[in-house]
Amino acid sequence: MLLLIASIAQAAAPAARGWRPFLDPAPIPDILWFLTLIPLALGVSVVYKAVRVRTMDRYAVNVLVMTAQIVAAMVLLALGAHALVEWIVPALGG
Amino acid sequence: MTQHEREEKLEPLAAALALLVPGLGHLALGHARRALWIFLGVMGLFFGGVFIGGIDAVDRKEDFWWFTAQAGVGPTAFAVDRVHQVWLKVPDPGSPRGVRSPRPDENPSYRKSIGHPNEAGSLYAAIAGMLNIICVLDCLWHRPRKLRDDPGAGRRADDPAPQPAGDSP
Repeated sequence: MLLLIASIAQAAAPAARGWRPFLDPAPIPDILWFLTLIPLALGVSVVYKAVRVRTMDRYAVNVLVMTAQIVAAMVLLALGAHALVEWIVPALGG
Repeated sequence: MTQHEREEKLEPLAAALALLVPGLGHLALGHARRALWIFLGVMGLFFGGVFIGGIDAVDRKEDFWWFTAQAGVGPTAFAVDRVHQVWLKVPDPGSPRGVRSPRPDENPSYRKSIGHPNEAGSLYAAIAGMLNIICVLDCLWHRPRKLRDDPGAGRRADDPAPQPAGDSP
């Protein structure tokens, strides 16, 4: 795990040099771009559930469940697209 | 007041406030906790987009269709775009818009975002705008929920709202 974090930090270091937050694009390494989905899903859930839930009693739970649902759906869609492109289309002779 | 009258109310003032500042409409309707989370969520997504994609993620002139969605955040989106257009772009009389993004060799005040950063940043800000439009519509055709979001009250939002003590005739 530490090795992974170290390699990610090493990959990001050149781009992060001279980076001005909110002016320049964030120096996120290419292999980590898919992780921007998680805060996006969380943000969508926070706002949508704030409007949608009937009471705020279980708001946090509702937000976490919806975030997990969005992320899981995206993972399944990605797997489906991968299967379509890599396996199904070649099997059909495409 | 009948059950039917309580079902949905037109609240144009709250909707206007919600368009002005995310969450302000719900605050005006008495839903402080909802308002706080809407504000944090919409602003978090919008400025998260600017953080990821840089200020170039909000560009009314070069990315007009993205901006139509981002504009749902309200004056904040227009202010960020104004800063981008007026303070950070360089004048270019040859350009149809009169200004353009600086090139890397011009010692730019910001770097133009391309590829993943631009996609993700623009998407974050655009989704923030569209979510705020949902909040505006929720304020405009408001279905009364319980006014105090205290936990454990146990009453459903669709139940008739309790009348405040001084509100009865």
